[in-house]
Amino acid sequence: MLLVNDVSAGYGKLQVLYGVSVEVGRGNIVALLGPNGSGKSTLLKTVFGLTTVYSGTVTYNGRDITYMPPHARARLGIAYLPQVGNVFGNLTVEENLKMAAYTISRDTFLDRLDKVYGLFPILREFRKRRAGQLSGGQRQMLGIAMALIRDAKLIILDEPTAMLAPKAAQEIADTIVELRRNGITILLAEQNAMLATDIADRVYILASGRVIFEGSPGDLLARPDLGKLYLGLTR
Amino acid sequence: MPIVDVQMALNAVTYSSIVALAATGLTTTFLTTKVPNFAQGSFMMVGAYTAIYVALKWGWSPYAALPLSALLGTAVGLAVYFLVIYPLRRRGANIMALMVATLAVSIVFIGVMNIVADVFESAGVRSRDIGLSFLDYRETVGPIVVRGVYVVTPVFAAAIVFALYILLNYTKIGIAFRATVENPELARVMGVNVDRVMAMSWALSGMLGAVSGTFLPVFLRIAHPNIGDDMLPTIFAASVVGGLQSIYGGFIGGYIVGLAETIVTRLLGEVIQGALVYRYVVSMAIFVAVLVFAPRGVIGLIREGGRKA
Repeated sequence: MLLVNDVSAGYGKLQVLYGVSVEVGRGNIVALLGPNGSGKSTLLKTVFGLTTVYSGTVTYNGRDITYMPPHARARLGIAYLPQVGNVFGNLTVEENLKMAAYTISRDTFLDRLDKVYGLFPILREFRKRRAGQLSGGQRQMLGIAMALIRDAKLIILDEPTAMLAPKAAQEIADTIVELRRNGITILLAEQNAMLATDIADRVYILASGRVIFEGSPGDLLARPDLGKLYLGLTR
Repeated sequence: MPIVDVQMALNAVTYSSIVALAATGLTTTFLTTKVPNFAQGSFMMVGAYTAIYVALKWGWSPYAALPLSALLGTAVGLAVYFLVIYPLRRRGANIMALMVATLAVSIVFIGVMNIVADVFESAGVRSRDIGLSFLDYRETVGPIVVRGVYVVTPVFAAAIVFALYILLNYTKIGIAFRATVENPELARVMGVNVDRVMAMSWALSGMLGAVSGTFLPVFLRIAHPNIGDDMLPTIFAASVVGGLQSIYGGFIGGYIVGLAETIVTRLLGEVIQGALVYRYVVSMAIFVAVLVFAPRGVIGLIREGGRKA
């Protein structure tokens, strides 16, 4: 579905990624792991068109989107959720969802709203509450719900469990698995390697802007050297 | 004699309503385009002179000028946005440049309003140092003179703030307005036409300024082509005191500054002869005090208090 091929990218003159290749299959959960500053966020932003690409290509459903502006990617069904600032704190939950539906018809919106509330009952309960008053985990759910309202097929999540309590992190992980069951493709950056290997179909480890490992979670767990060196896994 | 008599209170509330309407307009454009708009007084002059023309040339009640004022104010607000603010923002102008641009607009407007006054005069409409209060409805109740403007202005201001509340909370464009104010980038990603929201805010600001200005010649006994700019320090103080992060801040600040200015100036006037000339001292003192002790204004204080509770 998504193919990042030998991409070098960064911000202006500051290069962060060096010849990175990543493949995301339809309906898969793909996790990017690696230490801080390894280029995980930059790679996610590159997929959404928020960085400068020097070489390489990004293709989505066979279409070259390397230099496509972000809003056009959004129309193709790609949604990007930054770590913070992905919801309007001063708007209520329902108003946030209405904003997500800004360009779609009312009937379609109500239809999708029903499905989204089915997936996140907590959002229905808190629909009149200001998003700024939600917990971190609930805000992430709202951000994902907004992506679903916009009919996203590929959701890019930048460390969705960062700064969350373990229980809330597990809830988000369950949500991501639930999204996969609904045919949504997920690409996420994650600090929590245990959680990521638990839910992902495929795992990449980035270090200093290069891919140093790719494989299934099982492959990764069979490499304790990598786990110890890059992920803080000890077992 | 009580410190605040009924007559003074009526005057103070009416004046505050005029300030509140104009300050709400100022806050609106600050929220969206982040420009402190020095042309807000110009919008008021548009309303003031519409009222003068409608009342003296057509012989209508000055209040009948309100719809036309609103329309002209909206047009002027849009014109300032599309001719000045939008092109400058596209070229990446910073706040300083934009602010100076609005200052230029207001200077041009003083010239334009003086020309308008001259044209009106030559058409037989008295336009300099003229008040419309003699056309207002009035009733003497005991020692108090009750004027129509005492009722119409506060009721109108309340109706406007209620309409704004409905617009901002129950319409799609209103919610988009709040979304744009909070996070323009995210709003853009959601498909909101941010430029249109900004244009709307300037139209709204022009309208609010002009309707506020319509009441000025009725309320004051003397109006002149600089009348709007004379109000500017008070309006700026009101917006800041109320809190620039909420559209209701201008409204609340308008009443705080308007009431304080009227009442305190009057009290000072009884202690020091001639203190009436220095009415800005009061609003500027509150302005400075708020900037030092509560830079987020009254709305900020309410919100912070709410968070602690």
